[in-house]
Amino acid sequence: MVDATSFPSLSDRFEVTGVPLTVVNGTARQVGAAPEARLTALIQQHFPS
Amino acid sequence: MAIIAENILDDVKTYLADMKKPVTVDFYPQTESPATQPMRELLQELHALAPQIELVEHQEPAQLVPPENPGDIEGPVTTFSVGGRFTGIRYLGFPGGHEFSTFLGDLVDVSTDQPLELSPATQEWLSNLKEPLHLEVFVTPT
Repeated sequence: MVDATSFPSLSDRFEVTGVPLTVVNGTARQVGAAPEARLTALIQQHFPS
Repeated sequence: MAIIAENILDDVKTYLADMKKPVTVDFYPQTESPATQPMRELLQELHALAPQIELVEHQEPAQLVPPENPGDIEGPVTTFSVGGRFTGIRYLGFPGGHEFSTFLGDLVDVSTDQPLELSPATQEWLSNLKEPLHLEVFVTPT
């Protein structure tokens, strides 16, 4: 969990414009709350089998 | 002035009373950040409410997680460990507003081995991952 206000450099790098923003291994992004299936799909795209 | 408002003090204490195993809370202050002193005081107050919370303040900077670089650590970092093992949970900054309940929930969850809510299929897929998975959730305390 990252308090965007206290970490402006990280927030700028990941272009935080809406919260919550979930970043997977520094790349894939999900803005807003997401159900498990959507978040899992996002993570799985990052780790192709 | 206390960080935890007096009118919720009893509720917080009751909530933390569910903790079972000790949780080591490692605190890495960032001296120039305005969030550091409130975070230090918050952790001290939580420790006073729940003896299972073991607070350790470090002088050295927190370990970075790629692709972070030292300049990225502009605020305090707090991590949770149980039984000498890092849980993988870090909180960067100060958990104000709604984030306070998330912070408390994490403390209780790691202390009590809460059963996972993820589906069995997701759990199995995650357990077979060969590379590290790093999730960062950016929030703004409200």
